[in-house]
Amino acid sequence: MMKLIYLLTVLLLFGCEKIDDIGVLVPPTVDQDPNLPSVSVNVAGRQRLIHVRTFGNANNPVLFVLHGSFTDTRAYRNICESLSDKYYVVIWDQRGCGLSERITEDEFTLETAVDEINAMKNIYSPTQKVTIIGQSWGGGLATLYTSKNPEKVEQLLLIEPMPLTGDDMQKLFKTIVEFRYDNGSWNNFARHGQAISPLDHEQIDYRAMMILRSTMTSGYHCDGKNPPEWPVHRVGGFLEYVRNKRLGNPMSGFTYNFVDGIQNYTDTVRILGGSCSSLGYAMQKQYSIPHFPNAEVIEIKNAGHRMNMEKFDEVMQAIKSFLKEY
Amino acid sequence: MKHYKLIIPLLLLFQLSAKAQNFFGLLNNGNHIVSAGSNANPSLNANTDYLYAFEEREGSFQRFGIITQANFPIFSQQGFDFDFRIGAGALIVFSNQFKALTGVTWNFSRTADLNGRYYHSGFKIDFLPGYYGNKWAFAPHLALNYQPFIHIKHSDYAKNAFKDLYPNNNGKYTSPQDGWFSQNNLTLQTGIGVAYFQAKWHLNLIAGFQHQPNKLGLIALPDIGILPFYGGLNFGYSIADK
Repeated sequence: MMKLIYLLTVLLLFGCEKIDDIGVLVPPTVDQDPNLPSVSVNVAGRQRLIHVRTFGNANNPVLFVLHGSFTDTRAYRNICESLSDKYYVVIWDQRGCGLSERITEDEFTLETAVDEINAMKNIYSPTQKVTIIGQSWGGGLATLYTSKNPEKVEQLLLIEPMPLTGDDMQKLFKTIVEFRYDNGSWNNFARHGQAISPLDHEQIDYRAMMILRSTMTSGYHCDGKNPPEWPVHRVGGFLEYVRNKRLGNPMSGFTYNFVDGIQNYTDTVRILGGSCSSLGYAMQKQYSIPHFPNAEVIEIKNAGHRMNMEKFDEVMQAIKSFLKEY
Repeated sequence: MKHYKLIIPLLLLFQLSAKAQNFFGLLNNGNHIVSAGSNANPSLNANTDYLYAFEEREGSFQRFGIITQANFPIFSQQGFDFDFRIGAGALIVFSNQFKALTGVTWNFSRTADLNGRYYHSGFKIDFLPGYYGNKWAFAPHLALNYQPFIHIKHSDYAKNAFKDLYPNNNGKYTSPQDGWFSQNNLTLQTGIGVAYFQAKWHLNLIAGFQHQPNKLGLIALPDIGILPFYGGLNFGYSIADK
């Protein structure tokens, strides 16, 4: 009997496919599958492959789209396609996110996040300014990039950027995230670890993907119990962990400042804010607008943080009425 | 970032059960001990178990028992999720009141979430060496939980992540993989166990730190439920005299 149990154990352990084999849980990254489109950049002293998609004619002015946290480029493709008649739209999974190559903790700082945009600009628009659209974290990053490189930015449009300074985040944190230990979503994430541990990037990304259906950020949405669809290929769970460390936390304080230098960018910045979202119109008007020399906020009615999925036509109208090429 | 609000409630209110902690029933009289409690690992669960305790014996191995235990998630039940355990434990005497409760349990569990449904199996070893007096027991808790086997059935949500992956429609990864897999899911726990016991009943509490070793150096990411704490509170009752 014991021999049979031993034999079965050995067969199961060595006969089964391993859970961390490529493609078992999540799609591969560009360094694991050369069929995925990529470019190579040197940032923080390391050469890394970036998953990139381009839309439109390469002779058109270049427009970058910067994605938010806990997501990748996939949900923004409708924006990219819509703008591809007038712009050469470039969108990529930021290092460590989506299908881009994973990075080590020391490779990500707010400075290297800016360096990454410069590296992409050197590839796609080395001599001309770029127009940037950023959403959520991507809006904060776009603001930081513009603060540090105002001469490189043609136009800046932000879709519900995260609070742009640590002080703002400290004041707003409770309105952004509702964290309750009796929340079913949170318990689901936690219990997932009993089945699959966060052993490597595949396994933590697999778990992190569930946050997009979470009710913990119900304040982002018009119907917090039923968040709008938000398609994603892969989330960079470890990168989110590192980014949280870089930005700070509500106990020790948030230490970042994305607007140090933004006074040197005097063109008008347009911000879109949903009527439902805790990062929406009212928040942007009160907290974000005062940081810019010239800025305006447009309200998207009956929309939350995922407004390009909820009110695509209204969002595109607000974007195109701002962009110079339209 | 939001984990700070969780720590105190988790530790004080829903102290996680180190699963199969009810080897504490070996401190009661009688052969049949049932118990119930709540635990968090760090998700919140209710648990109930039955311990058959053999008669006390002379020598270092003072008492043996066989245990069955069932855990059910409290706030995140999907379908019929469960964690069923069966195992054996012993009360070992080192000298006078310096003893150790120890046990090993094998589990078969069902866990389901947005990404899929998992059947997983493995074992847990618990070790509580410390002071075992007439009414009180205080002992450090050391445990190892290893889940090497898992069967995955992915949800449509997980499958959708593979759609539209290749611009040229030329790639081999078109869906996540279902089936049996081997894995290295290891959880280490270290904490404190405290029990108050009478002849017929006991109340025990275990709480401490847990860690799932990983290649990333990740200790906590509360956003997705990774917290380095566990705990449990249990009440046990001997339903039959010797």
